[in-house]
Amino acid sequence: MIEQLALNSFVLGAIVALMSIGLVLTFSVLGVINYAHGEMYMFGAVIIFFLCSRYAAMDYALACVIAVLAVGLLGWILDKVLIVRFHGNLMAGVIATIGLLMIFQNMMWPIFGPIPKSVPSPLPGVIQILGTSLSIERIIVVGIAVFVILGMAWFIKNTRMGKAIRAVQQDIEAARVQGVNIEHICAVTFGISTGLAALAGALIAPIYIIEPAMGFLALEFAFIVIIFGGMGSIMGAFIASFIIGLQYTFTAAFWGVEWAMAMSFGIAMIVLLVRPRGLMGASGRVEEA
Amino acid sequence: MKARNIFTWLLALVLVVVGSLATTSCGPTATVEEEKVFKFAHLDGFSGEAAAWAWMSQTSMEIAVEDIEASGGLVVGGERYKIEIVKYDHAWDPSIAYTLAKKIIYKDGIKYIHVDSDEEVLAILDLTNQEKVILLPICGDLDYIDEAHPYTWLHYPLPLDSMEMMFEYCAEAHPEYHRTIGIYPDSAAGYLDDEDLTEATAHHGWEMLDSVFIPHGAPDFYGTLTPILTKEPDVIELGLTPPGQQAVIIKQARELGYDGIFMFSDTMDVAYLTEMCGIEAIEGSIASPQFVDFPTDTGKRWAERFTARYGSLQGWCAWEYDYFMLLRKAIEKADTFDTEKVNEAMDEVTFDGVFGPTMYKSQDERFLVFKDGVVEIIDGEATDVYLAYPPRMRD
Repeated sequence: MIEQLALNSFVLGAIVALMSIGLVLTFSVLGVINYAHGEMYMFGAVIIFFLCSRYAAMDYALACVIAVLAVGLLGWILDKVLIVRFHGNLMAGVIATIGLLMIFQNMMWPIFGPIPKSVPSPLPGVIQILGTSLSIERIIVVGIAVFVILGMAWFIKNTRMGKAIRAVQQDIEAARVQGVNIEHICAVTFGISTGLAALAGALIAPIYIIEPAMGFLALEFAFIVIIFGGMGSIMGAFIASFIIGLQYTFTAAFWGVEWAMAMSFGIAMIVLLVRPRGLMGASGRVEEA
Repeated sequence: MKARNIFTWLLALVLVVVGSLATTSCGPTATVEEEKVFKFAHLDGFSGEAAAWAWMSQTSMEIAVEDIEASGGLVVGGERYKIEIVKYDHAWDPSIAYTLAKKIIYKDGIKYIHVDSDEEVLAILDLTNQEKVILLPICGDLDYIDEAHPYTWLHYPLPLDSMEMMFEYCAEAHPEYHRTIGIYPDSAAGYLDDEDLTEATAHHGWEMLDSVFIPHGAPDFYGTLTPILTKEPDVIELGLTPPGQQAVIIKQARELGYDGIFMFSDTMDVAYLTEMCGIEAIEGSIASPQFVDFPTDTGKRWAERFTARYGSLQGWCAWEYDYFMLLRKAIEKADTFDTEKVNEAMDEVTFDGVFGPTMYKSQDERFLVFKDGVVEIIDGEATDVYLAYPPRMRD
């Protein structure tokens, strides 16, 4: 039983990590808290539904790639057209992205319909390890998510683009003086962020139910993780995601699922009181301003 | 010059508008009588994880309205009224339900409301009775139709009715089942459902292994299911959980190796669950209230039209058809829309409904009297297996 619970907590942790790392990037590089981030997660799942179930029987892996690219492109366009006006302006950015959240969600209801949907599992079945049934699909989700997160870490550390993102994150003016195209970097970062959220939604589509309001819960988790891990810290978000995943799953199992989210918020509140910078809080663009 | 041009255009616009109004009010169209309309409020969760239920109810009511219109329409005081069902989406939020109920009653002036389900009924119950609004709820407790709420009429079986029916059926057909776990929404309705299941299991000598309450919107149940499945239940009761959550629970329980059956004390959307989890995942499951074939011509016609319109048969919605027909008869008998008089007529009318003759029991016991059905999924097909009056209606 413990193995099953642990695996499930890793699934939740991996999905939340994908969500929260994108949110951390947006906050620390653009100085924007993106309340519409959950809608990007929802878009990822909805695209999978339309491509794999409703209008076509597309290969799931290909549909995932399309979902990530499409939502990533949407993010890039959104930044170029709208978000750029709110870089570094926390409150205005919050208002603007709450507006986007409402627009995207309300736009999706008539397209998607009011009834929750699901997509067939691309990898059905379970494997037995030491007498425990482990879902193949969930193992794959954890594997892909961890691979992508590590890939992101490598990308940010080793590539020219990643270094530019870090430069903007650390000191925007110094980066500008060094010739970094700030607007371009911000748009790419926002695109990466929304693409990661879409990947989380696409991976979870065959496991959870899909509906236009599904992004809100994922966003709640991401905020808890960011508070816990530390605003602006990718590593903090990564570690916090898996801790919150464990906490949520084991609370649900032994105390009741109705308490699981309440306890997650409780942890966030305690962290805010005891260590406001979180586990590994890094200074973001807004904090430095 | 520019300002004068704007003024000229504005003046022309005003003249056109005034002229149009004058022509309209004096012309022949003014003699055309406005169609008289009777408005009925359908306050339901048209969005969210249980939205399917609202659309099913709406479909059944629309069929009733079509039949009323086809059979001469609603006639009050010698005049024919067109029936309009106005949809209000409470999104399964009692506070929204209350706000909408105030809008329905005070702003839109509607005095007849259908509402689903317990939380939302509780939110508006006192308001509707205070304003003498006839309330036709889908809910799970007879307290809602006690003497303090004389304008509330129940047309739907209680979860306890359905559980009793399913336990009776299991005693006959599946005596091997005797260990159950209940999974409910974390809401007043869920806790009521738990009380009912506990009562029914005790009454029938079953063992109640555990009760779990899941919050609205929870998307994943591995954590919940993993420990409870170690208790090896034969039956998991999913009762009032929304269809979206039911689908995920069933899917995940099967992944975790659960080989028992699911029981649905508040009907089962076979088509939806089949699409979401595959028919094999719900093989052997039983549900009530649920029907596949109807014993009357009215029922057969209703079932055909419902299936054609909604896409699948949802037998439980038949009561929405019957009560709408009864409401029409009560209004016509009272010959007024005055709810006090219509309320007095509610238990004085009968209708040959989808299950046969149907009527409300009395002014003191304001519920429909009907036979309830149990369906089992046998070899991938929903099959009628049991039909009887629920115990509380047998006297």
